[in-house]
Amino acid sequence: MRATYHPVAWLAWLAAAALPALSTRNPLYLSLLLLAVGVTNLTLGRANPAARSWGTFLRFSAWLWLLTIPFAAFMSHYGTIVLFRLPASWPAIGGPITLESILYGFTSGLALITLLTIFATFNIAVDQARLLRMTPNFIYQAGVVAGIAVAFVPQMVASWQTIQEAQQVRGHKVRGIRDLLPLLLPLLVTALERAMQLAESMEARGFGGQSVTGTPRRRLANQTAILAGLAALGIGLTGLGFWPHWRVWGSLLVAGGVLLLLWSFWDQSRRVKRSRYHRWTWQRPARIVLAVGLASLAGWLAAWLLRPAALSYYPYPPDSPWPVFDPLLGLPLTLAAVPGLLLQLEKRPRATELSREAG
Amino acid sequence: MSIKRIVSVGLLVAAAAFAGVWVRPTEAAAMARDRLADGRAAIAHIGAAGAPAAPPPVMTPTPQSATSGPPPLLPVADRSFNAALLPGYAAYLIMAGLLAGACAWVARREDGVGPER
Repeated sequence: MRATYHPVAWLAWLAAAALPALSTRNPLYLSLLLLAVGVTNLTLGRANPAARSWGTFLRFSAWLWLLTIPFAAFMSHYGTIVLFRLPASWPAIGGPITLESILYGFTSGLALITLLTIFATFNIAVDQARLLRMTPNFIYQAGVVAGIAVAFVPQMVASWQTIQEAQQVRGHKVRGIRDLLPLLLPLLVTALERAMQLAESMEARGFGGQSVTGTPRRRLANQTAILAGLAALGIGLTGLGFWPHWRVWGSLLVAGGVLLLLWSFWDQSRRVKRSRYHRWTWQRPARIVLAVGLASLAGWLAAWLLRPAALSYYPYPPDSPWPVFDPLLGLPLTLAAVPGLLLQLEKRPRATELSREAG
Repeated sequence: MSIKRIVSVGLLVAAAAFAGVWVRPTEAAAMARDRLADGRAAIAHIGAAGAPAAPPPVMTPTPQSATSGPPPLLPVADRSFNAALLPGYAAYLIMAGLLAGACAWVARREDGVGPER
């Protein structure tokens, strides 16, 4: 089953889940977030082809996580809690193996896999077409290209699994590298066929045609606004970065540049016409997901800005290797499980209705 | 050469490529902290010149690395376990237990072996 919540609600969920994963290395917060995201990830279904392809990707990331621990332990020899020593004459890995470096490798890998799980869940929940529809009108062509590029790897993995299953049914077994040929050739042919079909369908729909209308004067005004906006932004940011007494002028230039760019984008979007045949509706669960996502995001953002020390974790001296856990900061992280639990509650009445109908 | 071997070798190569990315920040951050700690110790020592003699910070040599230079001296802070952390850990265990239970419940339902189906 594919989740049908509003993509904006999923975007709020993504922001609320990704911010903690990017802003802390505390293993307690990260593991709590991973568990909460896991509830939503499991709910979105493992039978879904998109979920299956992302599952392969996540398994690979889990292997990578297991490798980060020995690599951090053997390559970094800082810390005071020495577990054992390797002969110093051994190149690169020789020296003391410390608990701090193991903890650092563990937390780095945990942050990586948490972030990947969050993005995998978001990609399973919101498909490519929905993401494409959310791109602003003035960059819809870039949006199409980005959408195709983002979907390339999951599609390849799904094709690989399909071909593998088909060959297994025929009795094919992979014993050596030569046995990979019956899998790789169909994969190549499928990818080429898909590329051709995509190109033909885009051509048939008039993709890349002249869609921007307007007088040459208007277009010149837009181009000038973009150029002036970028220049103001660049000068303003440089001024703020290098000359602190330029604070007022720098801020004014940055604000002016952003306004000019926004005006130009809005003006260009106004003149691009796009057809929409299906209207998205805001249902109650989607509103709940949006509200919960925004509340969680606000809570974590406040903690990040007001109490950054509470989020930091660094196992090396002079900091303590013992992570601190504040339940008030853990609470926003658990909210990442809300979409999964809501979807489960929606499934239950549906199953009951089906059983009644069957009865 | 089996698939597993190819995958294993590939993983090792990928991890070797990533090792530099993970290790370099570690070393850089640790070295920066070492320098900061050395600086703080020196300032404390200079500041205490006119005042009654304060006890010098406890210094210990960091374990020597085969890849690094001479071992810096670090002031040892109180890095041992603090009992004040226990209530937080208890809260974490409750929250993590609830979420793990939710994961197990969802997995059972998705597999179709739960009592609801």
